[in-house]
Amino acid sequence: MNEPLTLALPKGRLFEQVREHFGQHGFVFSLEDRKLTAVDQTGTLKIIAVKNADLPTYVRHGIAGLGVCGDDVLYEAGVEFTHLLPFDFGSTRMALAGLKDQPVRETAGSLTIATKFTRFTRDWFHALGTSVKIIRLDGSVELAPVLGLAPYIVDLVETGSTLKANGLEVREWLKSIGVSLFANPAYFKLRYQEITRFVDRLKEPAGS
Amino acid sequence: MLYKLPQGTERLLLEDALRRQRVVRLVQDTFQLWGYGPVQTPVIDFYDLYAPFLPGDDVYRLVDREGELLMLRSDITLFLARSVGTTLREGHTPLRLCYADTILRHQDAQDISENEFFQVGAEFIGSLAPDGDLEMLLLLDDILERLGLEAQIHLGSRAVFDQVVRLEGLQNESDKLALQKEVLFRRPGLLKGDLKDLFSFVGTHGEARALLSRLKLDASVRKAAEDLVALAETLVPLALKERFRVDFSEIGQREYYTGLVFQAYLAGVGDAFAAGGRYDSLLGRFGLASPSVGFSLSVRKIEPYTTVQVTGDEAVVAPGSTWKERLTWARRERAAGRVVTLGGAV
Repeated sequence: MNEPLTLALPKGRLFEQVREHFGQHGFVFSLEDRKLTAVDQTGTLKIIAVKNADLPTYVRHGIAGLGVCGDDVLYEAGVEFTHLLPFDFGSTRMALAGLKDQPVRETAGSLTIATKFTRFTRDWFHALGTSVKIIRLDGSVELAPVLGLAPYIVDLVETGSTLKANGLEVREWLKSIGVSLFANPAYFKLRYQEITRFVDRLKEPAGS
Repeated sequence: MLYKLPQGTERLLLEDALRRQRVVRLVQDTFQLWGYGPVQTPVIDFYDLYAPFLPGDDVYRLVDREGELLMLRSDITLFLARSVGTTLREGHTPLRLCYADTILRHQDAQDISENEFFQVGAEFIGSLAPDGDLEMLLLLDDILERLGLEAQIHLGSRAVFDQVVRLEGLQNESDKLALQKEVLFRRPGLLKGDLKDLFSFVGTHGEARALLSRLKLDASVRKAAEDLVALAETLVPLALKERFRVDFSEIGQREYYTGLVFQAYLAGVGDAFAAGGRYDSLLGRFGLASPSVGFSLSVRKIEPYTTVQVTGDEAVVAPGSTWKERLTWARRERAAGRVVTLGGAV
C-alpha cells in the first residue's frame, strides 16, 4: 500500500503549529489558497483540513485514518481512538470560572454551568458527586455569568485575559488539556507499519 | 414520522437487499460445506440471564405482561450459549452450529457500529484449542476468499490479558475496564517495560517469536503468549492468503472470551467487520460446560466490497395475449433459469 496516510488537521491556529512541527521533522506541506487538502513533500501524508469539532467524526468513519486535535474535542466526541503520540504544543487548561468577588453559591448541592464542553462538565462533576445543571452554548461562554444565564462556566483558559475583561475569575483548575496524534483503530491495524515509521520520525529530535 | 427511521434500524431495497441475500447465501453454503448446521435463537429473552455478560447500555429492554424484564437479541453467541448450554447432554459434542440473524442494539446518532444489524456466524461447541481455533480461523479464511475480500485478520489472546489482570491484582471492574482500554487504544497507563512492549506488538508470527525470546515475562503470561504464537505458526502455512498477524492488543471486546480472540479488518471499513474467539466457560454458566470457539461477521460492512455479482438477472416480460399463453411461455423459460414476469403492470 503506497497511498499516503490520510491525516485530518483542525483549521486555525493549531493547524499552523502542527505544520511547523511536522516541517521540522521532514514532513513539509502547505495548503494552496482555499484548498482543504494537501500532500506533503515526501508523499507520506495526505492532509485534510477540517473544522475542529468535526475532526473526530472524519477519523471515526475512516475518511481520515489519522488525526490531531485537543483532548477536549476527543472527549466531547465520546469515541476511543488508538493513541499514538502526545505533542508538547497547544496545551491548555479546562477551568471552572465565575464572577469575580462573588462567593460560591452552594444551592442544595447543585451547580448551574454554561459550557461548550457538556460531556466533560457532566462527567467531571458527577465523578465528584455533585449534580450539575448544564446549559449548552457554542461560543462567547463568558457572557453567561455577566448576563445572568448561569453563575458559572466551564471553558478552556490559556492566559485568562478574556475572563478578566468580563469580570470573571478562575474558581478551580479542572484538567490540563493536551494535543495528540491518534488513529482510527481499524486504520491502525491495516497500516501499522507505515504509521509506526511516521510516528518514530516525529519522535526523533527536530531537524535530524 | 413517515420519513424518520428509529435509531438502530435499517432497510434495504432491491439491489442492496439482493446483494445481502447472495452474500448470506454464499456464507451459509460455506458453513454447510464445513459441516455446520443452522440454528435459530429467540429474538427476545430474559434480561437477567445475560446481564453479567452485557457491556454498556446498548441493550433494548422491555417488560412483559407478567412484569419480567426482557431484552432484544443483541449478541447471538450469548443467546446461543443459553440455548445450547441448557439442552446439551454429555456425549452430544462436538456440535458445529451456524446462524444468520438480525441483532438489535441501541446506538448514538453518530455511531458507525450501526452497520452491525445483520450477522452471520459459526460456533464450534465442544472443541479444544488449538485444533478448534485452527478450524475456526481457516473457515473464516475460506469465507473471505469466496467473498473476494482482501482482509487482514489480527490474532490476540484474552488469556494473556487475564493473566496480567491477575498478576496486577486488579479486583474491581472499573480497574479491569481501565486496563482493557489502555491495551485496546495503546494509551499510557499502568503497563510498563516488557508488558507494554508485549501489548504494543503487531507483526508476523516470526517477529512475535523473536519478541517473546527478548522479553522477560511471568511464566503464566509467557505460556499464554506462546500458545498464540504457536497457533499462528501452524495456521499461516495452511491459510489461503497471507492475512494473519499476531497482535497482543487484540484482547476481545467481550468478557466471556478465555483464549484466542481475533478481529478482521478491511481497507475502507472504519471498524472491524468480523470478530470471534474462544469461550471455554460461557456454556457452563447456563448448563453443561463445554469448551467452544466461534465468530460472527457483520454482513452490511463488507457488502460493498465483495465480488458477489448482483446483476445479470434482467427480467423479460412473457409474450402472449392470454394468461394461458404467457404462463406457458413463462414456465418453460423459468425452467431454464430465466427471470420472467407476466405483464399486467399499470
